[in-house]
Amino acid sequence: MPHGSYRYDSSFVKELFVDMGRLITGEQADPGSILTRLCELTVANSSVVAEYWDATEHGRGIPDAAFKSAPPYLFEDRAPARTFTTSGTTAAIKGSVSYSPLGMELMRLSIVENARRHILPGLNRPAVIRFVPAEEAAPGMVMAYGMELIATTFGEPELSDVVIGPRGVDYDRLAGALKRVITEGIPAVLIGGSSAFVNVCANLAQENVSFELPAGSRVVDAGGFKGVSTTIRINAMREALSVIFGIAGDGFINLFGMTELASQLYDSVDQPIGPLGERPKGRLPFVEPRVRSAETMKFVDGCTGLLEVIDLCVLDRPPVLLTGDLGIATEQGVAIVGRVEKAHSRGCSLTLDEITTLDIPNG
Amino acid sequence: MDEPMREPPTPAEPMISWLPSWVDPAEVEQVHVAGEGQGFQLARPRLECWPSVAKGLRQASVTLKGLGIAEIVEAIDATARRWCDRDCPDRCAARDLVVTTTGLSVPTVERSFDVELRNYQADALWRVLARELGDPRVLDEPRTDAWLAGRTMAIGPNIVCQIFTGNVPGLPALGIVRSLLVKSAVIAKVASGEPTFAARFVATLGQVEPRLADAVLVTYWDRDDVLTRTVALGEADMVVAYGGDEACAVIQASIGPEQRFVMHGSKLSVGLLSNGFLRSEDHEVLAAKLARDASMFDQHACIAAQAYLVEGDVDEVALFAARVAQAMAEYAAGCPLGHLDLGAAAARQLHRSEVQYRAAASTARRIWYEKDWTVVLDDALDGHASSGNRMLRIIAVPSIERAIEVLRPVGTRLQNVGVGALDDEMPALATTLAQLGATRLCSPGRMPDPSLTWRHDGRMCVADLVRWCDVEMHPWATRQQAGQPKEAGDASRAPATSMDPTSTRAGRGDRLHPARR
Repeated sequence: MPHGSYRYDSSFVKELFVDMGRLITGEQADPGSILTRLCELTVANSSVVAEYWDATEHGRGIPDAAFKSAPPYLFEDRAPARTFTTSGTTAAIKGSVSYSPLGMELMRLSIVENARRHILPGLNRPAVIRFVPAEEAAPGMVMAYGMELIATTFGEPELSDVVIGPRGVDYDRLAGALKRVITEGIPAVLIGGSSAFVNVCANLAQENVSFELPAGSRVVDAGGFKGVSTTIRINAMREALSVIFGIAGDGFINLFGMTELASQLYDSVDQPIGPLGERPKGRLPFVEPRVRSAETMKFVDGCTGLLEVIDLCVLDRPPVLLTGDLGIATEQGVAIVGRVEKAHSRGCSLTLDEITTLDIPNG
Repeated sequence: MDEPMREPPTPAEPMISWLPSWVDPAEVEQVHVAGEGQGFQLARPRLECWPSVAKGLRQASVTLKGLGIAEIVEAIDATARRWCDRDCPDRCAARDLVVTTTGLSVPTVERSFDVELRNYQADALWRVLARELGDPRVLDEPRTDAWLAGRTMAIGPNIVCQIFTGNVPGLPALGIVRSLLVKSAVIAKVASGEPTFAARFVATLGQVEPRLADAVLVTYWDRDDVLTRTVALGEADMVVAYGGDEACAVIQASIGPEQRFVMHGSKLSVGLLSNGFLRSEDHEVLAAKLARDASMFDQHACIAAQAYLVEGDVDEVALFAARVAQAMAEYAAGCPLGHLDLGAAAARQLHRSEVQYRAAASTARRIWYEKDWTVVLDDALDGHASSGNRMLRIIAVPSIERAIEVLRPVGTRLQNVGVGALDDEMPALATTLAQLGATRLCSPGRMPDPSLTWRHDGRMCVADLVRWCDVEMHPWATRQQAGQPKEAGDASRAPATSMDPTSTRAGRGDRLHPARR
């Protein structure tokens, strides 16, 4: 352990962990103090981040690409309990994000608390139908972990199910799960990535198949249009989901999550802000989106810039992340409007970033 | 250089099309295109009128084929000479429009025009014709071919469709000139990123020689406008597309089996300095050359240096990189970076943050930057931060052999390599880089200046356009022709005479220029 760093089992870390837990669950805790201590822990335990902050500014979000080059993990004296892999949407190189046992517990608390606040109001033991693999089938996928956690914490075990198999969506299983829900009259929560929902709606529409789920049913889409050929407007996707599954207009919830974050951001209001109808993501005491100017890196309001998220549920690495997304800062929160296109092609000119994503044989 | 530093003008939406004078106005529709920033207008053939307009273009090509190559060269030369004058009114108008549509600074556009337009003066045109066709007058008539023991003639397509990109100001002139040199009519499809230059250039051409401008149609269709694209491409005998792989693939998919297709796809350019060369040079001068290689065209061109691999230990290379940073600042003082849109500005900030994070993890990585430029000292070529817009990566390598290994994975995409090496290092290095995939090697500082004679993308871009007709085993074909070697059948002499522009066949100096018919 470098001199001056905080041990995993130190009282400093233990007290910080307790306060972070209190903040998440709504007990008395000071977010400012927690952020200060998390930054202090980071500087003490990571010379790389300390130097990065020296070169930029104290507390600036570390770029998401950091998890590909030198993944930060603050506790040399405590092996990670769990490591997740980033999705690698724009580059072949995948990143890794490690959690200590305390870090895992904070992420668990955050996911559950956020789901309780945003997904579950008005529902009692709904059927949670997951459009992501089971955790066991995808142990490195944080979305599989998080959605299984929501299902097991809040879902009705007899009616909840996973409809993604080794070869993608298992339509027979999906139909069976939805029919059981309809028969029992229990509301369902359909939860998965946007691309999965778009593809499922297109396939079911082609087969002329639709369902009328019980009142109160809702869809939680976690964003991401990977594998979808064209960009889909949020409202168009929601209309398709209404037609296919009978979801009411107020039954849609969008969340923004990243492997690099322990917390998710949820829509604060159902008000389209972005060009595709993206809604603003609100702040909570334990997680806050904000926007930096693309010109100056200063914080801005009312315009588009780089999304930075302060996540006070992250113990094992710096609590601030430059996500690599563009966001529009509004009074209601930040509408997240797409990834920053780093590998921008200009006519016949390739950038180095771009060429590293091409399929070029070695040798 | 004294270049004006002023705010870009904001004229009304520009007209970006050029229609030959013979086009019936009834066959034309007015189209407005809403750009992300400024929109533009064009007059273009109605969808159902493309066959009729194409018929006119074919007739215009027949007219061109009746002109001597010397007349065509003379007209292009006169046009280029006008445009090489920075005070030329057409050029000034085009410059202001390019500045407005691209956000590039005035000095950047001026410098781009300078290096682009000088390539179309007579000497350059004759050189490329002689290099690629041997005897330029094969475009006029069957000419003696010693290898053939007969005569040969080169015939350009009736209509070439050139699909341009907007990344380099003035680039459309290249495709238009190449097409006209082989006496082909041109459908010039401009890019939404820079749609204004081509029509202005052709307008000047029309003042010099209306028959050339009457063989050019400058137009535009949106990437989603499949109907117009299909109809327009369907009228071309040959299609030449510049652009990214995906865009070129879309074009290629629209091409029929009887049509020829040439693609100038995505390429990458870098530089390489040997340690011997580095130590033999004045670092201030050399750094200025690297700054020019990375800053011209705001690094948007496929010939612009994205990185320089420098042989030496990290400390030595870091010292030189700091010099380069200073040189980038000096270049930007005389020629500022253009306006970046939100996406480009965000990408640059994210890149810088990534480099700063990586630099924090290793002393082998450093970053210098100001508003208009970024220099990164790095230890690897792959995987990280370079976004164009004057972000130069300098990579320290322990040996030239290691530099070659670093470049090997990108070899098939290599275009232009600025090579700083000692004379005794050059033979092996040039051979290796050529075999690796590079298509042009030049001195540091000369990367933005390829000649028209350079085999762009490693191809003979004028010769690519023509079809040949040989006359052999015919008594007429073997008779001596004026201005050509006496012994046509002597194959042992043919290679030197047909390929060497200093030989009697193509002529030395002014003899490169055949007499006007």
